Amino acid sequence: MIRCVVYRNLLTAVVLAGEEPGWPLGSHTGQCIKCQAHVASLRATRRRLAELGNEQIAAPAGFESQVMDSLESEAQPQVPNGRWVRAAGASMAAALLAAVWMRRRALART
Amino acid sequence: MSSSSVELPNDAELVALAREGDRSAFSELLERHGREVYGLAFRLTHDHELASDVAQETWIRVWRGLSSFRGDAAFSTWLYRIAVNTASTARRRHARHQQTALADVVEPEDHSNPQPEGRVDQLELRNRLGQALSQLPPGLRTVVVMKDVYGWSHSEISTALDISVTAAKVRLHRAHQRLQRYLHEESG
Repeated sequence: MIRCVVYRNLLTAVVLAGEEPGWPLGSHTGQCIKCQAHVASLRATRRRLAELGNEQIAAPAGFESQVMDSLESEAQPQVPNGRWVRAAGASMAAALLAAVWMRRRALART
Repeated sequence: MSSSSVELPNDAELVALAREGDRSAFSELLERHGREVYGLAFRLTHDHELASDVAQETWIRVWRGLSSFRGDAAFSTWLYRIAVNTASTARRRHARHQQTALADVVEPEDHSNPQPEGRVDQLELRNRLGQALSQLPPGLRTVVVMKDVYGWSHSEISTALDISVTAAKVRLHRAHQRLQRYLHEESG
């Protein structure tokens, strides 16, 4: 009895994860009718869960136009990549100019 | 057979157009994936009102984030990831959590014909499963929905939820144990 309780917990983990019970679970299940029933129920649960993904749940009527309406107030998608590239370019140019200016100043002093 | 088939733009082409601000291209993406996003939102929240908010916010986030979508993964994968994150945020934001049995929201059954015994068992299992899923804590329900209902890999779940693959596996294991316990309790 105790073994069955232990086995069933393990069978739950294995079968619901989509795997076949290996040794020793498989050999125990082969001899235990109650654990066989448990495995059958787990397989049915797993199948049913997968089937849920194919069931359509209807969105409220007019949902799509509601979404499109809410986008009206939204600006066009921003392009941060270009903005960052421009900002990085400007920073590098400024740094370069500063370096050149400082170098010239240092040379002028000597 | 007619050879006048018109090739519809694929998701990547529509995304490229939408990035340029083409709202009709975005509307087409919404048309294609709107149901799935709503379905996912509902399965994650078990609340129609919240699911509607989540789905709407998901699409707004998608519009805003189009420029950051690099196309490394399929558009749908990126979209669903945003939906999962949005649902997670929304759940935290909403204190109330009105749970609805799954049986109340799936398509109405045709009762005009007597149902074979197997079908009755299936329906009973679906109802019990719906109840059991709604009883799961949101964090555990999310991984079950992602893995078992939508077939995501552990790696995809870990990326979407920003957790390690091991944590995703552990969470799923806990969810399975608890789901089985609920099912067992309900069946007596």
